[in-house]
Amino acid sequence: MNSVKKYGKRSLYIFAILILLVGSLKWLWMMSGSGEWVLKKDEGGVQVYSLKSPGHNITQFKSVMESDMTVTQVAASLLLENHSLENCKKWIPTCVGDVVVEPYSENSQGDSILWTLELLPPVFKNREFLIRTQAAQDPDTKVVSVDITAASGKLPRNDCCLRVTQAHNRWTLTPLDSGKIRIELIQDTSMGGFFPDFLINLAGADEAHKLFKDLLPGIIGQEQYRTAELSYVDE
Amino acid sequence: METENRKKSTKTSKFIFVCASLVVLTFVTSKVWKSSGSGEWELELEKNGVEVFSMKSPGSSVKQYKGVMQSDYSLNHLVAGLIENSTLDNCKNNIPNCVDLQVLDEWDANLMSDTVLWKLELFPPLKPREILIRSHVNQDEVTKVVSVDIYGAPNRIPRNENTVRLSYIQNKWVYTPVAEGQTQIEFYQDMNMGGLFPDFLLNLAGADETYKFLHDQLPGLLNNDGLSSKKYDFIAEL
Repeated sequence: MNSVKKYGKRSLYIFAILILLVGSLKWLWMMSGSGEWVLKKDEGGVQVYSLKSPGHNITQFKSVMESDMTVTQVAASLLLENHSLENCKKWIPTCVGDVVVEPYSENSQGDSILWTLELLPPVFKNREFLIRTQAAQDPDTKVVSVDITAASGKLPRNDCCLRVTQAHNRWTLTPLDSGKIRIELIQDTSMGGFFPDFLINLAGADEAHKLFKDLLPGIIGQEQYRTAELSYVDE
Repeated sequence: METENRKKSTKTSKFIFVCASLVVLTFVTSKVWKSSGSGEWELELEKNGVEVFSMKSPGSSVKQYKGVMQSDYSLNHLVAGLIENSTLDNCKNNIPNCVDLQVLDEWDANLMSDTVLWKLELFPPLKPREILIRSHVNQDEVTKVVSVDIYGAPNRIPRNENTVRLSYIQNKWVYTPVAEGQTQIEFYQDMNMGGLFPDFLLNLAGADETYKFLHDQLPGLLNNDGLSSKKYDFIAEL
C-alpha cells in the first residue's frame, strides 16, 4: 500500500512538472516573435518568409514570386471555379466537399464557399472552411488583392466536422514595370480544435514553397484562366 | 528540535502535494471543458424583452452568444446603424474602451461590404486589441431577412507594434422583418480576445455583456441623427 501511494505521488509530481514545463514553453512561444518578416527559403524563384507576432500562436507565411502571367489570369484562378469540387481538390488534395453558399458574381467580386477537408481521421475531425473570397483593385496602383477569410457564421455548423474560425489568406498581385507581375500570398490559418498549431508552424514554409513552385503554375496556366476577363480588373 | 524539523518537512510535503494536485486538476479541467458542450443554444438570460442564449461546442474554449429582441427599427435604419456608424466619435461614445477607429475600405454598395479597424484598450498588463473586421451585408430576396456577417480580416494591413490583432472574430446580425417598421434583431457573437486574455472571463461575463450591448448600447448607436431616414437601393422593406 505504501509503495502504491509513493508511486502515485511520484507520478502526480512528474505529471505536474511536465504540465508546468509545457505550459511555460507555450507561454514563451506565445510572447515571442519580432513581428517582422524573416526569409526562410529562396529556391527556384520563390521566396518564403515567416512572421511570428507576440500574442499570437500561429506563424504567418508569405510566398513571393514574379511571373509572366497577367493579374487577371491569377485573380480568375482564385474566383471563377470555386463551385467545383474538382477545383477544390486541385488546390487541396484532401478536399472532400464543396458547397456554394453565395455564388460568384462580377458585381460582388467574390463568393462564399464551404469546403470540407479530411484531416487525419479518426484522430482529428474533418475541417469545414466556410470562406468568403473577395477581390478588389486599387484604382491608382492597379494592385489587385484577393482576400480569403473565414466567414464561419454564414451557415449553421454541421455535426460531422469542426468549422475553422481563424483564417485570413491574402493574395496581392502587383504589376511591375518589367511587364511581369509579383504574386504574394500571406497565409494565416489555424485548424482549430485540438490540432497542434506547432505542426503548421513547423511545416508552413515548405508547404508555402511547394504551393508556389509546384502547384500554382499548373492551376493558373489552364486555358480558361488565360482567356478570362474580369470587368473590375484593369490591366 | 528534530520534532520541529519533522513537522516543517511534513507541512512542506503537504504544500507541494496540494500545489501539484491543483496544477493537474486545472489542466484536466481545461481539457474536459474544451471537449464539452452540447452544440445547442441554451437560454441563459431573459430580461426586459431581451433573450440571451449561449452555445458551447466541443473543441472550442469559448462559448458563443446569441441575443434576440424585437424592435421598432426598420431594416434600412438597422443597416444604416452599421454602415454610417464607423466614426471615431461613435466608437468612443458607445463602445467601452474604444480609443481609435480607422475606415480601411469605405462602404461599397456593389461589394456590399466595408472594412474597419477598431482599437480597444484593455486592463494592464494586457496589450490593446485591434479588431480589423469586414462586414458583409446580404438580403434574402424572398424573405427579406438581412444578414450582416462580421468577420476578422487581420491581414488587410500589416500589424501594429504593441497591440494584439484579433484573428478569431465571427459575429453576425440577422434582421428579420416582422411587420412594417418592426424587426426582430438577432446578434451572434463568436470570438475571443486573443493573446493571454483569459477565455473564462468571456465565458463568465458573455451573457451579461451581450444583454448590455443590445439593451443599453444599441439604442445609443441607432438613435443618431439621420439614421432613421436613410433608405438604401439594396435593402427592400416588407
